Amino acid sequence: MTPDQSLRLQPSPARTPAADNASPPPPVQPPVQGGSNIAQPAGPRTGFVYDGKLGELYGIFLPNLLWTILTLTIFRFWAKTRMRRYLWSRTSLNGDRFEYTGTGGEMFLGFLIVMPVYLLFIFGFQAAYYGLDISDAVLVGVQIVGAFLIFYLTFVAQYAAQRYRLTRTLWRGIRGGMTGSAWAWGFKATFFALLTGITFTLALPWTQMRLLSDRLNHSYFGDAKAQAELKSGPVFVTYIVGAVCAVAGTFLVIFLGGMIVAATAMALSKVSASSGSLEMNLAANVSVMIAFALMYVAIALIYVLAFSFYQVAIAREVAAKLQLGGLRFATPVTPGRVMSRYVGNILIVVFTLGLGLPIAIHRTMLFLANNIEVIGEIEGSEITHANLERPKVGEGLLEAFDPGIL
Amino acid sequence: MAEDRYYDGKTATAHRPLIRIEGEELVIASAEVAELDRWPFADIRVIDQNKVTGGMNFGRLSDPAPRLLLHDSPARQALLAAQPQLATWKAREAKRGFVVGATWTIVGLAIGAIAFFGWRHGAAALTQFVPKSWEKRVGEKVHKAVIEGFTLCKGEDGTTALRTLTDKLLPDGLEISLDVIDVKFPNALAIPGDHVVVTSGLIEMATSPDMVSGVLAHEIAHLELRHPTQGIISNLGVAATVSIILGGSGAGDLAYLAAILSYSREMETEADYRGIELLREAGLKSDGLAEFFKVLAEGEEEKGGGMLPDWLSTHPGLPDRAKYAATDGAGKPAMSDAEWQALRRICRKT
Repeated sequence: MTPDQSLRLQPSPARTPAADNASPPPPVQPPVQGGSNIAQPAGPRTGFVYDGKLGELYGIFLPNLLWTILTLTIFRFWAKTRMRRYLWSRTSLNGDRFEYTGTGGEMFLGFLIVMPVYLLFIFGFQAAYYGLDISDAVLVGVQIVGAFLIFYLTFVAQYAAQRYRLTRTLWRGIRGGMTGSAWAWGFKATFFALLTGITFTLALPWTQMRLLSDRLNHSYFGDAKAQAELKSGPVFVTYIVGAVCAVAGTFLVIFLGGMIVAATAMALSKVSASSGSLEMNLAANVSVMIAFALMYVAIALIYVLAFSFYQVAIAREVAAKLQLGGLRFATPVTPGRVMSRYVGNILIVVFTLGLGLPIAIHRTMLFLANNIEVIGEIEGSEITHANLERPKVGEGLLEAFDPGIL
Repeated sequence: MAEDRYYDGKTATAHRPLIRIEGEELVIASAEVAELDRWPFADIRVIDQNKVTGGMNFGRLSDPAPRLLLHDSPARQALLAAQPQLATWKAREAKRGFVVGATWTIVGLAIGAIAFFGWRHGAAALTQFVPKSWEKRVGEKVHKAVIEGFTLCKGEDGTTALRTLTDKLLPDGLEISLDVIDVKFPNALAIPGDHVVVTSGLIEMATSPDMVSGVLAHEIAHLELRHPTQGIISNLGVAATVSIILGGSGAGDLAYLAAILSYSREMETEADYRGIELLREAGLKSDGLAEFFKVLAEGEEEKGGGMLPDWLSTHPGLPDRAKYAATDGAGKPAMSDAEWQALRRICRKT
């Protein structure tokens, strides 16, 4: 069964009035800022249910942590797999649970394949620097090319990792899949990153939506293809407002914080100079360091606040446009919920020195379950297994360029 | 949610299965269909079990997709009774996790041991294969990076005195460049490509020219034995290992930085002995280094430690070193009094 034969997965008219104009996807009214009166297709509303227990999460997390330390982090591939298996198995839709079928071994293998290339890459640059008789101009050129290569490979890795996860996700005995070339998408993403830079990030909403559309439109559940023609129009204004607030807030923090730090440092250094005491000098240094740390946290918080509206706008746009196997989506997410999730998780992980990670994961799962609404019902008999490419090894490239927690 | 489920792996249909057992086979039916599928007992595996609902998720060994979710029932009990190994899946999985963890712990320890004991010897052998021309090229850049930003001391008489001393010490076939930089901290470095850099602080702290000649002989011995190159190779190996284990976390880069210009204990001891030989061959007093260590050790005690230069703190303990470097006071002084005074003024601009 080829992906192209999935047309019959269009929502059936009985459940979705909007499906009368089958393709292109039903028109969506331009969303009103801050409102949620987007034309929603009718149908029963359900959602994902996460019924994991925090205690059970710790039962997986603590042995994982111990083994990861004992094996000098090599165990992390098996640790990630155990965690995913649990999270997937405690998430259900329409009463049917998900299953994660990846293994630690294949993820480790992916890492083994990529690592020598990565090492060659890193040490190659060092060797070029010390060993070759080339001019500084050429070296700078090589470094710029190297930076771009890292960008490029990170994007390639993100795409490949999504494919890996989709092919390892099973629901009702049918797995996900993803078509398209990670290498080609990485090229596009790198070009878009350049474009974003040239336009002082003004192009960011457009590039982000284009890239996200690509990833969604190549994703499958069985032979049912996801469809989402995302537009940047609805998110553009929230991005600009967010960016202006973030930049202004950052400058304000740096300005005010800088003045306070400078004044404190001067006062303290005067005292320490007159008394000549080492302790006072130390106190001055420590207080300056603490002040910088606080400024850093303040700026991070400003960014979360400023861009949470943008996050919500993206989520709403995706929910409004995405369709998969007769399902439509909606989201009740609000900027407040986004802020509480990010800020809460950061504080929990930081103040427990990482031991609170399961709490953060638990909160994230609940956040996702509570903020994704599914409209309609999957007609199971219409979705069949599709022989989409199933990579044999997992996430090696992502591990090398973008090591994440999950 | 605690309902049984059967998914055939072909379509995304959720069946409510009715299970019966016929001989050594599990027959899956539903209210509408008399027989959906037939699973031989020997082909059945357990995927997992939900602790809260008690539901056991079964799959087939011969086909990755179909799934059968069964809660406690006479049919499931019959299956587990017929295939007792299915009930112990949890223990098997725990064992597999333990084996993976234990294996990699042992592999990690072995890699660590090899890196610690074996690799340094391997590096010494590998060094022989590195061409001198490569060493020169690398050295030029390191040398430039080391002296960049410092004032070079070029007092004429002092430079001549130092050069005369160096020429006496140099073994056949070795030529080196020697720079004195205006830095208070007492230090001396041997850099790949046969460069030695000495700080003015070292000359000031020395109470006799023999101490300077001792340090100089030690650094020349490092170069003769090609220790800088050996150090880079051996530390690069360690850095590579760290990178392999930790992945792209930047730890490899840090290790790389630390790799340049640091020596192992063995290399230091070797250089101590060879340095003394060089002094003897030149007919000079060879206890200067030992005396210098004493001066440094006293200084260390006064300051309560912690202010030692790198090249000393990674070295064998100072008192130990003073002991075996203390050979005899025989031989000529390193330079004349006039030369020594000139050397002490090497950083003055007159």
